[in-house]
Amino acid sequence: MIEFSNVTKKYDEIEALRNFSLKISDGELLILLGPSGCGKSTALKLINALVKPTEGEVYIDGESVASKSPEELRRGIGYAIQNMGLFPHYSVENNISIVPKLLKWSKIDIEKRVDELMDLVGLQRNFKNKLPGELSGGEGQRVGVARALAADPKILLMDEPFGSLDPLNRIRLQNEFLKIQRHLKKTVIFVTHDVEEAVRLADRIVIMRLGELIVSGTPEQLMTNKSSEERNYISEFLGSEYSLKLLSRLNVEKYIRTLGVEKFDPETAVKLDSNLTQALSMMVSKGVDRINVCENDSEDIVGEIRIWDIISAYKGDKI
Amino acid sequence: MKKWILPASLIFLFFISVFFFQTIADVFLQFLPHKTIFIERTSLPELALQHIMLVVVSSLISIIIALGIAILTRIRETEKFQEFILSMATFGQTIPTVAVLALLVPFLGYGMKPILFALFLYGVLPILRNTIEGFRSIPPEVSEAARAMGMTPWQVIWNVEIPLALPAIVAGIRTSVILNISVATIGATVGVTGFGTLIVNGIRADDVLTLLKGAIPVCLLALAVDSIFAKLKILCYNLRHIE
Repeated sequence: MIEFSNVTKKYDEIEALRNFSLKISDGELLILLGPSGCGKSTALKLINALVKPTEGEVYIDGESVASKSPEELRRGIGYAIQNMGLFPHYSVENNISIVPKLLKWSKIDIEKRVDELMDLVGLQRNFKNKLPGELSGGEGQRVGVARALAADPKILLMDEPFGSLDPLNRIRLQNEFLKIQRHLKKTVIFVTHDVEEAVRLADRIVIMRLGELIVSGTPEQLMTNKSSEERNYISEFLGSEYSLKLLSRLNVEKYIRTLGVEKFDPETAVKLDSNLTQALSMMVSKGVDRINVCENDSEDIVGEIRIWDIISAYKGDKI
Repeated sequence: MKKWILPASLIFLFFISVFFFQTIADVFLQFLPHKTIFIERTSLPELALQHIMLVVVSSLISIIIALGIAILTRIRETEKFQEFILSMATFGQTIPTVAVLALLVPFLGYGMKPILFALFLYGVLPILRNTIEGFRSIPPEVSEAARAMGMTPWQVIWNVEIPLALPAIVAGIRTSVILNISVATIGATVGVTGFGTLIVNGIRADDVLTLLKGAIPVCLLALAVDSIFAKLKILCYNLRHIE
C-alpha cells in the first residue's frame, strides 16, 4: 500500500502540492487526473523520491520513502513517461534491460526476461537491436512500458505514457495495457489529463486542482457525486458528456437479452466484446433502437440489445 | 576506409615535411637567390617531437580538468557556476596569448611552466564550455528517467549523459587541441623548443626558409589533427552503447 500523509511540496514560494493525503491499495489502478499544473506529476514523483516533500511523508507498505536509499527504492518501482524517456544511444534490448542490469541479474536471466517482455507488449523480436530513433511512436511507448515492467516491480508509475500517440494507437495501447494489468495486478499510479483515458483505465480516479485533491472515487461514483462542494468544478472538468464516456466501461455481454430474439439487418450487429458506447453509436448511426449481438469471431447471433438497456445501464448499479 | 584518406594523406604530408624538408628545399633553392640558412642545434624531427609532446601534455591536463569541473557542476547542479564558466570561456578567448605569457613569466619564470600554464588556460575553456553545453542539450526527461530507473548520480553521468554529450565534448577537445598546436609555437619566446623556435629564429634572421621550416609542418599538423577529429565526431554520432 502507498500512503501520502499530509504532503506539501513547495517550489520556492509556489505550492505544487498542498496538504495531500491519499491511500492507494495493492493491485489498484489509480488515475491522477487534472489540468496541467495541478500537481499530479509532482505527486507521482514523490513516490519514487524524484521529488522530496517539503512537509509530510510518503509511505510504501508502512515504510517512509525518505528512509530508504533512493536508488534501491527506484529499482523496485517501474517508471514510464511520455516519449523522450528512452535512452537514444541504447538499443531496444539495452533500454529494456537497464534495471535488471542495475540489480545485477545474470546474463541469461536478462536475455530471457527481455524476450518475455517483448512478447508481452507485442514487439517483434527483431526490434531488439534497433535504436529508439528508428521506432514509431507506438513502438517506442511499448518499449517504455516493457522497460518499466522489466524487473517485475510491484509498483508502476506512469506519467502520460500514451500522451504523444495518435488516437488510434493510444486506444490500442490502452487496451493492451489493461489486458496486461488484469493479468499482472500491479499497483499502478497513472497520470493523465485526458478524461476518456482515465475512464477507460481507472479502478479509481483522483481529480486534482492547484495542488489539492478535489475528489476521489470510481468513475461511476464521480458521475453521481452530489455531496462534494466542488461539484461544479468536477462536472465542468469531466464534461457534460461524461456519462456517455462511462458507457465505454460496460460490456455488451452483460446487458444482452437472449429471449425472443428477432433478426435485424446483419450490418447493424455488434460483437459480444463491444462496449455500450459502440452499441449506442451503432443504433444512432442506423436510426434504430434494437440491434443484434453476435459472437466475437463469427456472425452467429447470440442475442439483442435495446436502447433502453443502455440508458438504464447505470440505474441498476448500486453506486 | 575511404573516409580516412584525407587524414591519412595529411599525416603523410606532415611526416614528409618533417623528415625531408631539407631535401625538398635544396631542390628549390637551386632556382632561388641564395641565402644563408640558420644552423639549428636541434633537428626538425626532434623539434616536431617536442612540439607534439607539449601539445599532448597540455591537452591531456586540459581535458582531465575540464571534464572534472563539468561533471562536478553537473552533479551539484550549480546553475550559477555554469553560467559563470560559460561567460568566462567566451571572455578568455579574447585575451591574446602573448599577453598571457608576458604576464605569467614574472611569476613562473622562463621555460616549461609558463607555456604549459598558458596552453592549459587556453585549452581548458573550449572543452569546459562544450561539455557544459553538451550536458544541457540532453532532454531533461532522459536524465530523469535514468535516475528513476535507480541509477546513482555517477551511473547517470557515465552511462547516459557523457555518451549523449560526447559529440559536443569531442568538438570542444578539437577546438582546444588545434588552438594549442598553434599557441605552442609561442613557447619559443620563453625558451621552450618546438616549431616555434624555427619561426622565431626565421623572423629574427630574416630567413624565410627557416621560418617556413617551422610554419609548414605546424600547419600540416593542425590540418591533420583537425581532419582526424572531424572523423571522430562522425564516429561519436554513430556510437552505440557497447557493454
